[in-house]
Amino acid sequence: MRLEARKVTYGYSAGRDVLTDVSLSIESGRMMFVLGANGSGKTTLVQCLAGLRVPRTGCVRLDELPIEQLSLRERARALGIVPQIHEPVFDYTVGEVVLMGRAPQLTMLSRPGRSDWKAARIALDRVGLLPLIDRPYTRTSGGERQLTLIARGLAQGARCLLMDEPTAHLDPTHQHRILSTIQTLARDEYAFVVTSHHPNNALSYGDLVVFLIEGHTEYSGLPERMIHKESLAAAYGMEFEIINGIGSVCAVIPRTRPRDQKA
Amino acid sequence: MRGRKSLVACGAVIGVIALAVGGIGREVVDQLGNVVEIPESLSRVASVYGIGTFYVYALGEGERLTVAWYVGIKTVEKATPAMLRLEPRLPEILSSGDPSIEGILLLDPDLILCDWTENASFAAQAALVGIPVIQYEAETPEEVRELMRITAQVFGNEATAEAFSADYERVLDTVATAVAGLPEQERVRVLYLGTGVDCVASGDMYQRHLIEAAGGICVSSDLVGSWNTVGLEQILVWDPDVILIAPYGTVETVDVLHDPTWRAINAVQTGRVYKMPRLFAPWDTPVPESILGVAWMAEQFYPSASSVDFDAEVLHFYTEYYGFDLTDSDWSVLHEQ
Amino acid sequence: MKTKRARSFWLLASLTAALAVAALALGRYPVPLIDVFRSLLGLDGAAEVTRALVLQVRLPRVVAALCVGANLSAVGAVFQGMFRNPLVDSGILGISSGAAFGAAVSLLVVPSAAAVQGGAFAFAAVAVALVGLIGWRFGSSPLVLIIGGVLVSALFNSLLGLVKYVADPLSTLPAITYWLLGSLSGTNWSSLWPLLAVTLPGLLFLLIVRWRLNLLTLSETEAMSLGVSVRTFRWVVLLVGTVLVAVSVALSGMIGWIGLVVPHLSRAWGGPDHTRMIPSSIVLGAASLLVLDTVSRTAMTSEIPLGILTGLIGVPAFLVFFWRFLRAREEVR
Repeated sequence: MRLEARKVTYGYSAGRDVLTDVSLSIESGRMMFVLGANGSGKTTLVQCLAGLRVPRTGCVRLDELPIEQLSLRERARALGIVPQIHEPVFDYTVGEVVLMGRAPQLTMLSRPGRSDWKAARIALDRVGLLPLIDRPYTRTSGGERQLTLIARGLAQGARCLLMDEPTAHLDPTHQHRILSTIQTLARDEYAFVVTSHHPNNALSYGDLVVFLIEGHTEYSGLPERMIHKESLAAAYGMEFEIINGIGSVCAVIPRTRPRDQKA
Repeated sequence: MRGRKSLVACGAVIGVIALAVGGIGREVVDQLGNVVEIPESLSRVASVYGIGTFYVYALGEGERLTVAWYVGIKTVEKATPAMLRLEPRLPEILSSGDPSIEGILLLDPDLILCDWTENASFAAQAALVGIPVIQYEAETPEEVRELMRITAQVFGNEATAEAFSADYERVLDTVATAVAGLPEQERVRVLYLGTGVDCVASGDMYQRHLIEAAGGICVSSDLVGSWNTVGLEQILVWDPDVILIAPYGTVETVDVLHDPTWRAINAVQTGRVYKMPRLFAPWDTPVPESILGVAWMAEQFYPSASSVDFDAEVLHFYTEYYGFDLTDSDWSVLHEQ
Repeated sequence: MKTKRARSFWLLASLTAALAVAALALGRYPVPLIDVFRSLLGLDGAAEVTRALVLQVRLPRVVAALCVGANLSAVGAVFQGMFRNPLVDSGILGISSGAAFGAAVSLLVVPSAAAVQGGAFAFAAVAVALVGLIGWRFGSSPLVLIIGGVLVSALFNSLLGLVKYVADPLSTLPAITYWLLGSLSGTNWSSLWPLLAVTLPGLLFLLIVRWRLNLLTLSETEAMSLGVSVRTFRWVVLLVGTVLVAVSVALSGMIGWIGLVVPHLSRAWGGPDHTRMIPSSIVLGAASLLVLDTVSRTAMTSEIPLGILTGLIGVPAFLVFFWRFLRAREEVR
């Protein structure tokens, strides 16, 4: 399975493009991090990749097929969006939330059956949440909610999941739990595109990285090669300290001390 | 010399007092107990009380009205042909809705006739701007007579009021005597319908007094307030002998007589469903001719026992008080109910 | 857990059916239960007036109460999910106000029962069309639609005031006032059939798509990423809901609180999953309104308007739910 964006340009209003000539490509078994500042167009990119927004120029292809040629349901069976966690209004159980992911597998007039519940249970098991299947969603922690939404994406049958800042609002423990779960899933022939604010996460968990700088994709490649002072300064507009591990970059820290004060 | 001067002085004082008393005009006590000064000339009377207006006509003083509210007549289209004959100026002087003090002031009235429950604040405003206001209201037969008396006093026509009261008594007594001999079981049970087929008059309303004055029993006398909606089942439980329908309601006698769900009711089975008559004003409101309503009801309730000559009373009433000649079409309207 | 819930649901449904039969035996006019069965089954033995009463007066009214209660509750449940707001009543989007204005205008001009029903329905549709126009122009997010509903309601309420002002205070005005208080008095088979004709397919539709209604509680992006073309589905469901409410209000007048409180009851019993909430709202709503209507026509000599009863009982009931909801939120924190 291969998801590819070729020279995608998109703007909400005429004259102001959010994405310009964006290209990227991801295959099964890989986890790609998209790094960029606030307002750089990460969410728009995710929506274009999922086919929810139609680019003005360029195209998105899924296994060589232009994504507009697929129906909404076919698309949903291949691609899933995992949104940021939000405050739920109603207290569905974790299992019921995941079950909603079966929507593209069901016709308009049918209801989930035993096989759908089985798929939901498998999905929950894969993210390690099966014991919580009957817990009300409102009584779960932030990390558990994010895992639930991932499970929903898996229940869709999607082989590629697009995740919009999945580690926002989470403490380090939960961040690790989410990202390591995704890493394990990626090895099982899933593909993940993760937008993020945390270059360190890309270094620790990602297979690929791409920077989104003012609507352009740049510095695309291996994280330890592409995450350096130049790319970070271009993306975030500030200086970073690079911490080297054995042979390659292993962490970055924003430079907080003034320039003329050396360590 | 001194004696004559003091005599002249006394005479002047007496003369001034006499002039003052004569110039004030009459004083009338209205139903609220207020003493109201009636001006000498009453050529521009405003009647904001839709019931009271008809008392002015019953005293033959209709031409003094400059603007008037009429019960049951919101627009000229709603007036009966007889009403238009009684008052040809109706399109110019008819008014409706909430009275506005400025609108009335523009017409420069000498006197305002007003009711005290609906239009109390209007009456207060009129008093503030210095227009004499008579406040009254009739909700029972006694108050009807009092209203006639007060209105007659206003127009300096006490004799008519006495004649009216006498006629009123006479009709009531005739009906009462005719009914007095009847035992309880033979008293007629009456249901009064209003604006809809399940809308029933309450015991607080004027209609109940008319029914009882005519010797009937009002089945809904324990209801309170204004029109009440009761279900068909309750009407079946009451099982009235006679059903009366208000003249301004949207219900026709045929609606009741031909509705299959009403078939079990005594009144429907015997065909005793009637719509109350109305010549100018509905006879079930406290207008002067509502006494005819009593006479009419007595005739419907107890056709054999009734000793009131309905036609004679109607004729007497309309010619004597309203000065109105009834045509054949008027008679047929009154009889067809 | 699931079978226990299923069992209690069927118990509730049977109870409702039993209540319906009992309601046929209750009323100001005494009718023994055996005569109710005789009339229903077409057997001899009941007096003609009893049979006419049961079949022509009580039965259409009981059916009407069940339908109106079910409609208002089911649509209330659907709207609360669709607008992601548990404070929404089924009359939102101006349906109730439009219907009130339509009925008042009919009473002013052509006061026949059929005209009143038709007028109420027509103007309920106009009100919703106006809200739809606002949504089309300004984007159909739940917030915009709710605000549009508030504005359109206010507009029709003012127009209603105007109608009341010009209405004849002896005949028309009391009729308008009474209609506004809500009542099923005077329901017969001829006024009932439009309601039946719409209720059966409408509720059936909602039952068939009830699982998919859960997806309407998601944001538009989420639902679309799940392969559901939300916009079409949302408009279809909105249309069905509107028609169900409009035809109910056209017959019964303004009855509030049922569409707001019953879904909360239903959610407390089986959770927010529409798979359970729609059937239980239907049954609970039907039963509630049936009980209230039976009280309305039996308790006192004159009928107590239904809208008053639903308000008197609905408001304290809602306060109880709201208090529990707040307490549950405290616990989570």
